[in-house]
Amino acid sequence: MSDLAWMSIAEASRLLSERKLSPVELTDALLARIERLDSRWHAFIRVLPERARAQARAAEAEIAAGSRRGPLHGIPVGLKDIIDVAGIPTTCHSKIYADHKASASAVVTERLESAGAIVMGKLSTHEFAIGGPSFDLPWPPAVNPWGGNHFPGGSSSGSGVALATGMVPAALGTDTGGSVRNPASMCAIVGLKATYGRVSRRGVFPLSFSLDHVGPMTRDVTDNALLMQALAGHDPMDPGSADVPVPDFSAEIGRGVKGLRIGLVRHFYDGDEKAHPEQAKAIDTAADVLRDLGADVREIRLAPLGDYTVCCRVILASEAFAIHRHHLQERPEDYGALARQRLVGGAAFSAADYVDAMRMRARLIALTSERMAGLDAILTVSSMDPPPPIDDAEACARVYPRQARQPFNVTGQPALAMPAGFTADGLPLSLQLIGHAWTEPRLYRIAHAYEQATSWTKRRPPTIT
Amino acid sequence: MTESDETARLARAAGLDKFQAAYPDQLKSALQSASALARRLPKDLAPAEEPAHALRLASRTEAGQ
Repeated sequence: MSDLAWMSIAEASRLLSERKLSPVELTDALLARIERLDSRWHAFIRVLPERARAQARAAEAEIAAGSRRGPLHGIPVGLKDIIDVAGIPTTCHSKIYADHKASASAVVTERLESAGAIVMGKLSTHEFAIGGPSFDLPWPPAVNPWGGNHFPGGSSSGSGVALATGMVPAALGTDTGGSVRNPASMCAIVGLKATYGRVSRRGVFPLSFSLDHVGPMTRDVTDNALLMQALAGHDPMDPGSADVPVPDFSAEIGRGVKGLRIGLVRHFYDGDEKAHPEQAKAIDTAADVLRDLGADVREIRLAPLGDYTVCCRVILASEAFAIHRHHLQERPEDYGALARQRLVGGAAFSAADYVDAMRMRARLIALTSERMAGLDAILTVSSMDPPPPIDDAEACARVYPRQARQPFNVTGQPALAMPAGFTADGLPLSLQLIGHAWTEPRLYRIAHAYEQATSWTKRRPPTIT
Repeated sequence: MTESDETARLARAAGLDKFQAAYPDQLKSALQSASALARRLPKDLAPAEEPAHALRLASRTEAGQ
């Protein structure tokens, strides 16, 4: 049996179903680990030990009675603290919402709990999923165990750190301009932003209605597909939710990539931006790995990265300002400096600017779809740089513009970030795979083939024991 | 119109007069940043090019009729 801290969902699920592992034993082991480690890494805003133990005992009894619900039954999960759990505060990592108790659970929380998952607690985020890393909030920012004192990415920073420190095997994040894929890239884990509309956002504090996604975060690809399976499905009360069939997300895993056609978007990181040389080389090497596995990898061009970035930033800032305008006027001092600065940015766009950004978005969606015709997926960079030290505010601020995640919030396509190596200094490098809408199983297939051909998702931070 | 006049106008229009009083530099910076971004939006949009969030009503079946 593997160390419980690093056990995959797939392995734990098998052992739980065979009754060689108890949900109570697994939950207790991880709660003890959180107790031991979290004062250093700050992944959690709030741990829910009694609630988690009660759920674990219930899962143990159900499994013992032969009523196993599925692969997540008895599996501990963490939730980014903008996702509601009934009766528990959803703080959004902000003084503004410090005492805001959720009256009902988010749909994704309900789905996980219906599948038998055990909610371990609420994970730190950038304030309202936009302002961070910040040191002027009621809770400290999460710290990346890779490097020992580095930025873990954001805004789903606690989700990335909880996984990278072995505190949970599964977590949820949200992704409006890359906030699942950024911590996945920085913490050497796997994060998926599924197709817009695939996962309900009801009960999740919004940042930007038309760009927001909820996404699964795990330590490997197989686990990500298992978590995704529990999350997907139409929610008629979420206006963005799509009424489309839910596929078997694991169906294509293990089929390899022979004969698949993959577009390589080099101009994002070697033209529009210039990525850190080790990061750029990691993508080119990943392309070679996929070629060696039998994929047809060819270079393609999308719109310039800056076009997607402008479009995303105008939409995001305008929608976020509409959500926060009242609090910005009445309680501006209760925001941290970074969130206040970023949220007020939307005040200065005109209605015509917002509409034109949405018209630009329609153009970019059409162009991207046209350039991807005949391809199964595209490969490109996620972050341009490895994680900087968390106390280097300027370097952390540069992480936001130096990325290629926003294009796929604009287009709504599924996009997965995963480890693609490490720098000479041992810091994570990453890649991003993007599919056509509703083709997540194909993305998992490609990601899994790459994962099997490399060993990156097996590495653990040397600072963690 | 001076930059501070423009910032004050923005604060009034956006309902942020209290914010402006407390954090005038942040609003000024927001205005500068937004102006720079807005200049990069396309200028060749045809009148018939619709935004990406065009209204979609449920079908009669979806609406349960």
